[in-house]
Amino acid sequence: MSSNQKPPGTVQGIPERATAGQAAIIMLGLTLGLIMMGIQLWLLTLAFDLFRSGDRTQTLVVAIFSGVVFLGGVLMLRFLDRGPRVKG
Amino acid sequence: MISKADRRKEQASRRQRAGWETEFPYQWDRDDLVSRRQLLRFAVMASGALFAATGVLAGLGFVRSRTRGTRQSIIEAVKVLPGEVHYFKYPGSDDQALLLHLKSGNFVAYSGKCTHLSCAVYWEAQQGRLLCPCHDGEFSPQNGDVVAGPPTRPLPKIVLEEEGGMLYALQEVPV
Repeated sequence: MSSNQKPPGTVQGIPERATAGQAAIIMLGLTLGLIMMGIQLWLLTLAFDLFRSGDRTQTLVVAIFSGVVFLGGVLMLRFLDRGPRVKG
Repeated sequence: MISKADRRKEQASRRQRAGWETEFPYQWDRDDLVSRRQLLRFAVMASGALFAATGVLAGLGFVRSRTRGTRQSIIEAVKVLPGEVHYFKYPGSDDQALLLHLKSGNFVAYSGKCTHLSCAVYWEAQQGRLLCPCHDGEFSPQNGDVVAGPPTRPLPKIVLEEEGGMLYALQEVPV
């Protein structure tokens, strides 16, 4: 096989399909992400209610919570987006 | 060994599948599939948007003034007897408000918009209650606090001033 030829079922040397373990971890991340998004949506409604009542401090606290959830999502994405480990 | 009956069944199933694909052809190679990782990326982007929206609300809370309205005359104090109510518009021409003359002799004024879903709050003189007819919300006439029903926030108060027998609304303050 020449160096230009790709092994079957791979894209740039990375397997096209995740292994069973990888898929499970990604599904877990996805499920957690969607649950946290639901919580963020609830936090947004809560922030709106607090904003309407003029409670500035509590609105800020809710915004910080929402930011922490977002930061968690970004970290999870970074963790799951890692390239394949090269065995040497 | 596969029996003849099994082979016939398999052939029939293959024919059926082929018929289905003929009737509803689907070009998988032209389909733009979204992987789990891509979906996760979209979810994180949506999470960022939700955080931004919450952050904007928090920021607005610090930028915008909490009070509304300017000095406006309401009615002469003697025209509202103790235990009675006077409805007026404040701070805007479309904002319903109510002025109450409590039996203790004090005057109080609140926004007439229920904090649940903005229905018009009214004064039930017989039982001395501030009621919202939409979902049976009840507010305290003394301070506008929620007494019963689905509202979670008290009625915004209107600051009053009496000058020369005339009552004036100064500003509306959310509690």
